[in-house]
Amino acid sequence: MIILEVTNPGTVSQVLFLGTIGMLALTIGLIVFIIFHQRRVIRYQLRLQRMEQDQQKLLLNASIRLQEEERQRIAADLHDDAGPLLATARLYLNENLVNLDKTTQLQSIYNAKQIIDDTIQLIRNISHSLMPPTLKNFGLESAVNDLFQKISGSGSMNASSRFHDYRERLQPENELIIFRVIQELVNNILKHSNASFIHLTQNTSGSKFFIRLHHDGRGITQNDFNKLNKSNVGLGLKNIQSRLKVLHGQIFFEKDLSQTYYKVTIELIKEEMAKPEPSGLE
Amino acid sequence: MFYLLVFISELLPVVFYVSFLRRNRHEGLQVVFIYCLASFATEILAPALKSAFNVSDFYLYASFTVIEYSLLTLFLYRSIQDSRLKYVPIVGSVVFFTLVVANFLQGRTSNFDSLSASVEAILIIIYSIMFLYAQIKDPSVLFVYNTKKFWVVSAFFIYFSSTLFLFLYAATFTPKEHKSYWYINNIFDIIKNILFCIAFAMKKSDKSKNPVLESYEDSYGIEP
Repeated sequence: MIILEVTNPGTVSQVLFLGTIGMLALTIGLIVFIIFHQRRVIRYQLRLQRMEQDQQKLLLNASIRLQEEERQRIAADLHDDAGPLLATARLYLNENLVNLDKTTQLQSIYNAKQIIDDTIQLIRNISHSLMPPTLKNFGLESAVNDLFQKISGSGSMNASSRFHDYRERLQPENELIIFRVIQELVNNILKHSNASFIHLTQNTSGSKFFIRLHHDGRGITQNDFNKLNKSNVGLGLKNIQSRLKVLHGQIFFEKDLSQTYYKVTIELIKEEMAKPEPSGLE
Repeated sequence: MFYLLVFISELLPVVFYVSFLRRNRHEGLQVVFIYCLASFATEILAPALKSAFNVSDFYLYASFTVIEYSLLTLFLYRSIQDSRLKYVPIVGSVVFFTLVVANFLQGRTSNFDSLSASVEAILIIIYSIMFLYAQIKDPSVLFVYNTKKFWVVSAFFIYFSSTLFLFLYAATFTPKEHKSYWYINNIFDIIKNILFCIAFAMKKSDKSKNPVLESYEDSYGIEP
């Protein structure tokens, strides 16, 4: 209030003039700043949105390509394995069979039966690769244990898994998504890491559900994962990303503190997984 | 000539509001319209009241300040959506009315109620900044200048910022000084009324909606 005490008319008019101009400049400056700041924020939001859309597009393309690859694999299995087997069985059972002697007839029927059994087994294998029966009937824990036992049984790698807190089964479609993610990660480790062991653990903490994979081979870190996600390569990783997106989950790739192991952590929200998904990825 | 211009500028917002009634309906501008009416009525009635009832300038200005503050605060209180900021006008009003009452009880010391007018100006400036801050934080507004309320608040903001120093000194002015400095108030009063006219004449715009949010709403089916 010191300025109010100014009594000299000349000084009053000067203070009044400068004060008014100053306040006006501040006000207009503030309004202009607000307008431009808001525009800048919106532009930034738009840029972020475009980036997210590009990422979505990459994920969608990866998902479509994987689906096509899966179809091609099933088609190849059916065409290359089941097709020739059934054709051979047909040969054994063709109409000339009636003209042969009884022993040859029996031998041909036996061969055809063997081939049909093989074909049934082949189709069962294809079906199991599409939807593992253990997963459907006994849940994620059994399916993962089964998968790891098979890997260990092959002798190429020491694989073990342990579920610490999995008393209640999740929604079947969510279990399938998590299983596919684990399968993809294990496949990557088998293909690229040259590891001698894989160890999977499951546990929960508060509202979070964790799955951790350790291995001692060559792995990737979060930076590598982010780079691969933005590029056109790394189809499997994009597929993992898009599957986890359905469950609002996250994945982290890191090197263990001891710098000896690579660690992959899948972080999911319990509540999200208890909800049935409107449309699963499978 | 200049006073005629001031008089016309007081009338213009009223005319604009009535002319574009459809555009201003459901926009929460009724309070501003009442304020414009009160301002115009004061402009007409003040000389008549002074001559007929010998009412002092002090009481005329003080009464108008109270009405003006009440209406503008009500408008800004209704316009600020953030519940954390809403308590500020309430606290400010308690302070303002306490000061006004104290000032009235003390009796007139000059021709202008400087204290009430200055406190009013400071409080309205604070509320205007709060409103603009809330607008920045609101992601549903893309172009803040596409909303009517922005122009109305800018009008208050510019008017009260520019006349704050004048109101601070007004009580110490001699009648001659008062007359020579009061043109500052008149100029910014005209600017304020022009900004009101812009606000009243503006179309109700949906373009101000944030395209980022709209796109998200479309993509993920989120309700706005």
